Amino acid sequence: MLLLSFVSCLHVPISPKSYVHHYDVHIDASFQQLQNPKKSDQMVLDLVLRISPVERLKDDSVLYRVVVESEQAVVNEELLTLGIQGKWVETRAFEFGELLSIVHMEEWVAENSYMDALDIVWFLLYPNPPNVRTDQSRASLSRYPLQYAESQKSRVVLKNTWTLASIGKEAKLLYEGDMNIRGKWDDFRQSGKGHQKGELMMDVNGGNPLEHTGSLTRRLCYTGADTICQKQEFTFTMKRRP
Amino acid sequence: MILFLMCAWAQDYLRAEVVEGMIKEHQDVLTGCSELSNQLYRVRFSIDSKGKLTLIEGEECFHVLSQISFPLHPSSSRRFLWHVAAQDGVLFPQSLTREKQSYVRFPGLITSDKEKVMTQLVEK
Repeated sequence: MLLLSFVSCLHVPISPKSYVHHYDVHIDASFQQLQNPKKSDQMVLDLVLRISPVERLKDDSVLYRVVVESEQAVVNEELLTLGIQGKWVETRAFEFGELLSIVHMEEWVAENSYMDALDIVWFLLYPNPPNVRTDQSRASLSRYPLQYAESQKSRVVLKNTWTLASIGKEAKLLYEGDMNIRGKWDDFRQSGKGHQKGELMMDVNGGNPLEHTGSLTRRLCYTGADTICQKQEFTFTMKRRP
Repeated sequence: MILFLMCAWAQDYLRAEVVEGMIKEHQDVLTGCSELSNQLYRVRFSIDSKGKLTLIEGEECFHVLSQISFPLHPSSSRRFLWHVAAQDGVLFPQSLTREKQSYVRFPGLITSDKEKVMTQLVEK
């Protein structure tokens, strides 16, 4: 019985299709100042991400390596380096585009690296649209876990309603919906609610979007003896290089 | 759930001394590193819960470390830093330590003063 348990904990590596894609990601973000809620800090981030498959797992999901090829950030008009160029995380996802897990996320974060607040990048890459016909709208969930440290765990869920705007070799999809965050850091409860909308171009076979533009507004809170919340606004574009 | 508990029960957490011992035991896989010039090298790698090693940072020849099967362990992926000296084609392991997890306070909140956030949340 014990031997069987061990066997079921293992995975069988199989070579995935070999392809490498580059994505240009642009995010404009605004973070309400906690000390002065009428003011906000502005951030503009440009990333080039390289995504390549590492191996196919037993459940037919694929492990991908996501490398930051270049990064440039401007925070309150000051040019900054976040220190993540060349660093990578790994995602496990189905080839049709559903994200299952993210590992080595800690590689992209450090105190004030900003990347811990820019988890929207995972929705940009893995929006998980449903199969939808021209005459209907359908709902789907895009979920991703976040863990930057052993003492922190969060889960982000975006529930969107999708419509198909046009279809040919590629499909243009529109979406709108609500975001929910639940988690903890140390003894503090994390929660958040938001609203997002946008549009994307997908290959008809699915996968990561070819293009994705949209916006998200959310309120992120931590609760201990008191509750502190921050309003955060994001507009974003992402485009896969030919 | 029962299966998960059995997996966790049967495995030890992966400690640096276990990893160090296993690398020393399998050091012969590093034959490709005999060309390294004489200096101290820094090798960073992670080992996931299934015992698979992935090189994060280091000379190309250290990639073969991924051929070693480390024990299954119930913790999430752990990262290690190995210092190894090369001298006339021979590797001399120096130290192997587990890297501390990154420490980000209140992930997702952007503010220049997280101490104040902490104070406010603890002392209402």
